[in-house]
Amino acid sequence: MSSKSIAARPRFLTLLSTLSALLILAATWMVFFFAPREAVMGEVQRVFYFHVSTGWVGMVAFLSAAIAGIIYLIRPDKKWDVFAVAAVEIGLVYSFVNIVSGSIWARPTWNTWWTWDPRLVTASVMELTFLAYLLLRQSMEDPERRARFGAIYSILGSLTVPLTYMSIRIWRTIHPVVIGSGDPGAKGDFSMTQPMVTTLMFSLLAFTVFGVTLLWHRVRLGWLSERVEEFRLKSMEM
Amino acid sequence: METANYMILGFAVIFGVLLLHLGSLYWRKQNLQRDLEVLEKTQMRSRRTKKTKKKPSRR
Repeated sequence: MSSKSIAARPRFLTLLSTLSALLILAATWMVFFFAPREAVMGEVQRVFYFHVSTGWVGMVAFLSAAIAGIIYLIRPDKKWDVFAVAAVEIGLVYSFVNIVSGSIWARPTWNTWWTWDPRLVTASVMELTFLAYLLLRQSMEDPERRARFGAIYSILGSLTVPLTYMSIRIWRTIHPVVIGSGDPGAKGDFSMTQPMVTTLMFSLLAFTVFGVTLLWHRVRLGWLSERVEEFRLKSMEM
Repeated sequence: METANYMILGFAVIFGVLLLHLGSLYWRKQNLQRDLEVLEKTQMRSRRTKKTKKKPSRR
C-alpha cells in the first residue's frame, strides 16, 4: 500500500465518521431527555446505557481480534495482524470505560466502588489479558513471530469474553442481568420501560457504529505505521 | 436517591476516555505522516547523491 493511498481518506470513512458523531449525539440526547429517571437509583442509572454499550463493543472487538488471529494462522497475511492489534486497542479502551463506569454506578447502588463479584473479576481479567497482549507483542523483534504469537494469544485470550458474558448467568452474583433473568440476589436490578429499552438499543447501535469507525481509523494508522517501518528498514540498508 | 454527582462523574469518564483515545489516534497519525515525509525526502536525497557519485566513475 502506497503512502498516498494511506493518506487519502476514503469518502465512505468520512461519511461513517460523521454518522458516528451524529449517532452518539442522538444517543446522548435520548439518555438525558427521552429515557425516564429510574425511581430507585435516580440519575446515576443513566450511565447504564453507555456502560452496557461500551461493554458490548469491547467484547465484540476482542472477538474480532481472535477471528483475525484464526484467519492469520490459516493465511499468514500482515493485514490480519494489523487488524487484530487495532481491534485489541479498541476493545481495551471500550472495556476500560465499561469497567470504570460500572464502578461509578456501583458506588451509590452497592455502596462500594469495587467488590470481588464474578462479573467484575472476569471483566478485569479480560481487560488485563488483552493489555498483556499489547505488552508482550512489544517484546518481540521478529515481525512474523510477533504476528504468529499475537494470533495464538488473541485466540486463547478471547476465551475470557464468553466467560465474562456468562459469569452473571453461571455464578451467584450481585450484578444485574440485562438480557434474560438474573440472580435473585442481584442489587441494582430494575425493570425497563419501553423508552428505556429503545434508548438502550439506540445506544448499542450508536456505539457499534462508532466502534467500527474507530477500528477503521486505527487499522489505517496501523498501515501507516507499517509503511514508516518499511522506510526505516530501507534507509538503514542504504 | 440523590445520585446526580455520580452520573456527572460517569459521563465525564466515558466521554473523557473516548476523547483522549480520539486525540491519541489523531496525534499518532500526525507523527507518522511527518516521519513518512522525512523518510521519503531522505531516501530521495540519498538516491540523488548516489547518482551523482556514479557519474564520474563511468567516464
